[in-house]
Amino acid sequence: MMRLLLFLPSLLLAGCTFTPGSGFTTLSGASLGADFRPAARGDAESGVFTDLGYTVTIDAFELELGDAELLELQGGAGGLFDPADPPAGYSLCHNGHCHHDDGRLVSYAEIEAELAGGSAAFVPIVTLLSSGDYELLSGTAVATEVLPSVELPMADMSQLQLDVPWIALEGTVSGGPEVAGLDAPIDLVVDLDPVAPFTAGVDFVVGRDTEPSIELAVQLSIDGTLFDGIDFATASGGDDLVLTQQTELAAADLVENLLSNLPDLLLTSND
Amino acid sequence: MKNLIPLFALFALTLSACPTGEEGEDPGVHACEQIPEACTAITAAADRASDDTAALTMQDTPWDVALTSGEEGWLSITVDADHGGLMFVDTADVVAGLFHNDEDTDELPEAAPNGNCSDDIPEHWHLDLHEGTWHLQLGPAAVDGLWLLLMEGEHEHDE
Repeated sequence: MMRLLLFLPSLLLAGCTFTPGSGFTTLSGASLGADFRPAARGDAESGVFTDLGYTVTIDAFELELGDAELLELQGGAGGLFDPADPPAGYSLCHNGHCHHDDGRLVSYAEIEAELAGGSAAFVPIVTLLSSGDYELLSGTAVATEVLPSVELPMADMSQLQLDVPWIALEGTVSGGPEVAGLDAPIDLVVDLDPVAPFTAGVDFVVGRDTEPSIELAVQLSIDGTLFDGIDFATASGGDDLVLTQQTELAAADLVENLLSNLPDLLLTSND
Repeated sequence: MKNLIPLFALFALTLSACPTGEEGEDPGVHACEQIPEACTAITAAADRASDDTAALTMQDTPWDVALTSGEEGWLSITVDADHGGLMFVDTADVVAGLFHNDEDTDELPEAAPNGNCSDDIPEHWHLDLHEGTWHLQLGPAAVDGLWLLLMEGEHEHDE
């Protein structure tokens, strides 16, 4: 009889542990946002200064945000490394990234995956669903749905991946290098379909210490270096410039600059 | 008195173990601490050819660089022997390039925020400075000044 009395409470406690559908934390809200922040390079209306001396005024700037995935590196134990002694090909590791010899900024998680060989892979834990087009000049953040559930399991998410299927911009370019700049302002039209996703290292651990209810926000801010390296006078030949194919050098430069912006993950506790 | 000798010795040993000044301090932390400190004023030259008039030296205190909004500014750094450098600035996207002697190749590495105070120092660089004259391009940007700290750092040896 005594044994039965002891057994019943333990059965009840075990039942709490295995309640179906409950995670370690609940997402009470999620949003995707994007804006253009030229900061020290000027502003869209009066002009953004480029490193080659051009000034770009922007009348319209839109992009489409695809899904944002938070990924966990699974499998492949032994991929850890010491940022103070990075593997060959990497140097200057700090703030979650190392510099690759080819100039890329690579997150610690990506390097760990590389060290683990084919046995490790990034697996999506939660996905913030695309909510369409964003006007960057006004800066917008839109609440989104998440998959597979607002209940998050125990996980160590180390990478954020954000798709941007489309970008469009209209503006005017003037100035340029003293020797070979533009004689007169030209119109600039951009309508491109970037292929590569934006990826950033993040540190989002869901575990026993995580607050029971949190909000997630993924924000993509495009900085004022968007037009750096583009020689508008050469690319346009003095006429209006329309960039629709990434095979064009100026378009490739623009997409490369675009992808150098890392999306931010903002976590807010509701408690 | 005899018993006091070991005490004096211990005291002296303790003092000698303490770092003098800022010795051993993390450079990133040091940069954050320098933000409110007095700066050395310098006006950037209008072009690369004349940046010998705006010469930076490596020091543990910051520079207040005067710029003309919307125009390039240039500073020079003369290096007598190969060594590393660390550069911190208070405004992102103003430092635009770094060129060695008469070369046209931009050798400015990727910037990263100072993790100790990323809002105040959004960009910093580890520089591998070889002997010669370096030309630092600032702007064009919509600012008329820049807080800049250039100090000695570890040298990245060629392998």
